[in-house]
Amino acid sequence: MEDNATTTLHTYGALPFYQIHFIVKGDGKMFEELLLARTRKKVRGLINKSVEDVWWEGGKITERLNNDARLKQLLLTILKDDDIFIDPVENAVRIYTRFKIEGEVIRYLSKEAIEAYNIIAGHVRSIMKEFE
Amino acid sequence: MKDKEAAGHHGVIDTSHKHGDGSGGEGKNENEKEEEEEYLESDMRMILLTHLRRLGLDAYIASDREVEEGPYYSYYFTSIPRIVTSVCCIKVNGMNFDCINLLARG
Repeated sequence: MEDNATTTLHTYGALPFYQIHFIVKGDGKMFEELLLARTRKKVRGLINKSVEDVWWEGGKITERLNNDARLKQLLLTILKDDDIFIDPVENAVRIYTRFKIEGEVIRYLSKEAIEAYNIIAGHVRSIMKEFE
Repeated sequence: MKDKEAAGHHGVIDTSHKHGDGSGGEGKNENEKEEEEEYLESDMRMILLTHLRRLGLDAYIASDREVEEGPYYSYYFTSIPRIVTSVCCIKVNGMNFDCINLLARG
């Protein structure tokens, strides 16, 4: 029975927690100081949380991200108890949020969220081109 | 049948044998067969891909070794797990990012 199980089971990880990474390819390590960034937010309320303000902390990219009005508007709607990280690694720049339980992965991936990630990826790409 | 038993033991629903896999058995009636066809999609790749397509994006699963083999984190941020598994890579046309990489914890 064990032999059969090894050929058919879809087991990706030990725990049912998933994380979605939006990837911009390129040498992230080269732009580490410019691109490493994360969101911070001011939240009001304990049970009915509402995000009052969102801003970016980190490298040079934060200047552009903080000045993007549309991105800020999107982040205020999509970030409730979450944060977005821009993490440059060796072969790419990874943009991600925290791990989500299996059933909530797509609930957080709304059209607005995709648009926000797209804008962030655009800023990442423009910085990589500019400082190449 | 053995496969399904094995899947049950591990708490994972196997979606690879969901349509007419011939494991219905002889003693099952029509109602049981109908119930078998109603299933919850448990494969996260398909769930994510379907969701993206429903949002109107031109998404498709594509293998990308460079992305899938990592490294996944720079570890500058706290509370990042050491052990993660890459599930799949989804490419979306017309976007600023090159692809979406789904990771599972553990």
